[in-house]
Amino acid sequence: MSPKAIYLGLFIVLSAPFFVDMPIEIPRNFSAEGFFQELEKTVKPKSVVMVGLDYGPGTSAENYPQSLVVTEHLFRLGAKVIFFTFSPQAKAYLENVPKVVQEKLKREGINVEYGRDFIILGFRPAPAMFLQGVMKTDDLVKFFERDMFGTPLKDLALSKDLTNHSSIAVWVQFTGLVGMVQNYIQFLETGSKTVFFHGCTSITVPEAHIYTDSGQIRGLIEGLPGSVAYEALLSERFPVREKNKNTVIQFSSLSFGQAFIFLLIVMGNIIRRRKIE
Amino acid sequence: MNGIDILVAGFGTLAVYTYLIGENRFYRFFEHLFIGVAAGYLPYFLISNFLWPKALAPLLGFDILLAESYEENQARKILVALSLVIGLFFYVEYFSKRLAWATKIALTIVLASSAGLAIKGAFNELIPQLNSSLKPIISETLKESFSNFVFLTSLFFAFAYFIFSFNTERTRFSKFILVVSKAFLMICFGAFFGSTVSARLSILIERIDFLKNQWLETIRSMIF
Repeated sequence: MSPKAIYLGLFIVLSAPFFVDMPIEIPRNFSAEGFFQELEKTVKPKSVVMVGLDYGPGTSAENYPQSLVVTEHLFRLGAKVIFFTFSPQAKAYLENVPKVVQEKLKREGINVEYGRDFIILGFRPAPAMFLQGVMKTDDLVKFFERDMFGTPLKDLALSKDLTNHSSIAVWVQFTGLVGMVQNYIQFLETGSKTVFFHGCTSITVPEAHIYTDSGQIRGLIEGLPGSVAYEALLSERFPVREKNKNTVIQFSSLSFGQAFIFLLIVMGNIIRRRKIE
Repeated sequence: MNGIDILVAGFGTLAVYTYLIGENRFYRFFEHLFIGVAAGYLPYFLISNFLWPKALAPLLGFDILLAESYEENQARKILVALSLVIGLFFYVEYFSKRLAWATKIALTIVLASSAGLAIKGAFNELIPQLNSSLKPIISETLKESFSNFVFLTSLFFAFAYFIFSFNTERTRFSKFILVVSKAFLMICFGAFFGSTVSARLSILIERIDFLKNQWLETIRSMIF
């Protein structure tokens, strides 16, 4: 079979759910359920949560939907969220994620305000230095200094009372960059001194599982299937919320794509065996 | 994204995928455009989001550092200026062979601080993992006991494969360990491969979603 035929076949299989209605049932995702339940337990109204969006266009296909559903969950729980990034490519997502969720919640009558409910710290270079600094300082307001728009943090309602790292209830991070999550685990001393949740891409799932087993990661969302399952959990918990039908289509597309690849592997083995015989 | 952004992004996406049909000028143009934009974006971003607001603007008097006193402000300015000077040391060797030693100062500071952080980080990362690796084979539930047994077995065989200090081909027992270790490693690599394929499919799905729901919609709204 020529590679072009395989590419075309894959493209047709993946595109089909976008044009023909063929939704499949979302299966249980234990990682996403664990993340959801742990977040519900840990985050109380007014808890301060740091959210690191450390991804760019290369992994946004998986990390962006994850960050949307988790941000929505955090806002619904009444958390105070501080967004930041170590990736220069994430600036657009830093502004987009809270804005999209803010608009969605506004349609339901939930008002989320900048400065009161969330802050965007912006890009921070040198992850290891920054995270170590957060753990050592007694004055986070002075350490963070300003938000992305240049406003001093002491002038914002959310941040003016921050003291040291114990003011932060939870850290959540989304990335597909290999090695990025280790910065958090190493310098936040996750598991012992801080509570850390992580959203990873399908590629970095095996790497991330090591840390969930040791308790260094409290909750894990895995790739696109993780965010789709999380979306379903959110709809169950908050029945009035506006559902995102696109996630089901994307999940159907992914499932058909995986089935197609599996079929190709089986076919390839049968053809090879026949040739040998 | 506005209409023009979406149109360009859509054409760019299609251009990159035309490579699957074969090398062509449409693909080449967008490949160069993509590399050029990526190369230009990073320095621009770092200057506008870090170097200017955090270092140059306060030093040149266009902005103030949020210090509590005049003395603290001056001290922080000196630190910022010193950091900039040390940073510039990296480029000295390109201008003067005689002053090339200055580059070593900058390199030494960066390497020493990185090494210090790496040592601390390694302990924070690995000690909890070592602790969690010591699991009891006989646990509270049968399921957990079985899970721990599988974990410890795979840990033992994965380690055994990388012990090169004795000849593993010598005895039947060592050959058995080698075969089983390889099987465990292959299961692991299979999981890696499967998740990599899944990630690549997710990227393509996101692009199809973009083309169908944004790009085609934009074109349709422009025509009708």
